[in-house]
Amino acid sequence: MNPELRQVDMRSMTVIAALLAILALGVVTSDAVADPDPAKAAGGCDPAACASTCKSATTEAKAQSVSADLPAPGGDVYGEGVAAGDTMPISKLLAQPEKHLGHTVRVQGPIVGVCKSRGCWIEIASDKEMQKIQLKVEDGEIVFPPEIMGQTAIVEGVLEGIPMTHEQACAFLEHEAECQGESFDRSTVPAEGITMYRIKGTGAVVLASAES
Amino acid sequence: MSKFRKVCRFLHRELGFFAVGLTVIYAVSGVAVNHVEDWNPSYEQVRNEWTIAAPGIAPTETVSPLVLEQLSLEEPVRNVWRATEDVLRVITPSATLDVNLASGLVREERLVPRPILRDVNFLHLNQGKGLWTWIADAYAVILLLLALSGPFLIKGRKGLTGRGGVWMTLGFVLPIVVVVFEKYL
Repeated sequence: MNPELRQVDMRSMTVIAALLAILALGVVTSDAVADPDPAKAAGGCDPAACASTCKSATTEAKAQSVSADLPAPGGDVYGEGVAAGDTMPISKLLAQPEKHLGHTVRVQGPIVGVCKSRGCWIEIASDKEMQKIQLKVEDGEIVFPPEIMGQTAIVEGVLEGIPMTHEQACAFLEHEAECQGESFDRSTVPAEGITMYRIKGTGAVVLASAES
Repeated sequence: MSKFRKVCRFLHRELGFFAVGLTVIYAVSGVAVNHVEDWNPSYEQVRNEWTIAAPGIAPTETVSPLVLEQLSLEEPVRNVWRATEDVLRVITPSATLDVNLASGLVREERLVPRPILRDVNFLHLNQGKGLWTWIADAYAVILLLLALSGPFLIKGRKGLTGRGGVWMTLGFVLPIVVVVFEKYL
């Protein structure tokens, strides 16, 4: 081979080797972070890997509190997970939602609805029958898979209230029903409109189901 | 051939081969998730309807065993939730069944994962986080190197100073035009 060409090839190989080394380093670092925490390995927020969406120091602290707080064998962590501490009954939260508007709340309950198209929300059943609350997350930032339907989740986020006129509420609920492939009855919406309360979610922990 | 051009060719060729598999994954999934408004790119929705003897409107503790007995599901039940006065929702690992207590109508919905597509979407949307985040980052760097080395592979009228340059300019102009029209006008 031409010595000049060989020299070029050597340089190029060095560049590629450096790139592969960076990749390998990433893999090793990632494994080192993921291994100790099974919750993270199962799809949770990896502080080293999601620096763009997580506040690393805060997240790390939260992730630790999550694993300490969860009943064995733990759960799958979504987004920033949840902080340790008691959860508020959904019935209590929805009895006086105005009191909690803009505040971070943490609730727990079975998942009775999952956004089928984007996985961008889940619905948590209340401790009171026929009552639920939606946890809405940023599209793509957290994606809830439909397989978690029926499992129990602990979710955290800021409670928000969205006032809607009758027409706005009908349009919104109609669209949501259409996305879910369900029917919608406009007569179920009060003429004066509604205020929809939901949790703008920052994270969730989905506990392993009993049968799996 | 200049040394710089030789390096570009080498990098473009070697990294290009490496990027084939990853590019196919991102391209296929890209088209699939681009049309999420029109279809579910990861799951096929299968719906069934049938009727059971109407258990009637009664407390959940009373109707729940009656409904479950009639459904005689093969899967374990994860949860039973009283959605409304006349609807009981039964959730199993792979299906959701809404049972109308007044009419006995059962609406079952199953989300069946689409083969291959579900997995490539899982990777594209980085749902697993962790390891794939690093691989995707490395792939992004490789794409950047492919893009930066590509224009210097050949010179002349098909290269950067000729037709190639026109194509490259179009590639820059197109997104700028779309952003200006869609966002600012």
